Amino acid sequence: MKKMKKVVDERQELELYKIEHLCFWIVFWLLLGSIIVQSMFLNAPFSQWGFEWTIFMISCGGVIVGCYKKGQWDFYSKPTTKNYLIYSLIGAGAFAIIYAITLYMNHAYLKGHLLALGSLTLLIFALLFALIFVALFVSGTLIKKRQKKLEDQFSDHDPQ
Amino acid sequence: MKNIKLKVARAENDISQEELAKRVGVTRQTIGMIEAGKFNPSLQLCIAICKALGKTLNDLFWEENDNEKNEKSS
Repeated sequence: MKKMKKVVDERQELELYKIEHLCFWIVFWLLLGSIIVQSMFLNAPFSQWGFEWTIFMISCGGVIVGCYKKGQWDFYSKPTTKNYLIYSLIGAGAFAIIYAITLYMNHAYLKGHLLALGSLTLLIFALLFALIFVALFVSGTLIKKRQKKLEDQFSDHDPQ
Repeated sequence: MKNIKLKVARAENDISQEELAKRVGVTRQTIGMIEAGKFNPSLQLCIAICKALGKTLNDLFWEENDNEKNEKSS
């Protein structure tokens, strides 16, 4: 198939990338919000939000594969243990709060037993924290290895 | 930072933004934004602009810092 010829210059291309980047992240977070609302707050069946979930997972997979291939991590941080801890805390904390709210709304028993609700939330937080931390640690380690490989590829040392 | 040198070189060659843009294969807005310091062109585009105006990269895109200027003037 013949590749389409670009009719924009480098500035226009850069600006288009910025617009598309912004729109991608808006759609990404709105999609996640939509999945959370439908699955957790409205108790909708998977058949209702499964298609959105599939699209969300495809976009996540695309970002992960793309970042790995190019050896990229993030705009604002480097893959370090400190950052894994911060992101794990934020992610697990946010999701645990949402989960606690849905548990409170959907389970009459927990409305009268706040200690049980708190314990359950803490348990979910701990599990999620461990899960996110391991996922970040593994992906960060892989990306650092990939970065090293890419650096060596364009090194000025001639192979012996 | 505004690129006055580019504007001056263009005036010396009696070339409009439109004409320069056409010669280097970009839009007039891009040339305007480079002159206004709102867009940093790639090295490839810098070289194309220099060739179109008969100048070197040093002539159009080199900025001396204050220390170098002071040393030269003293």
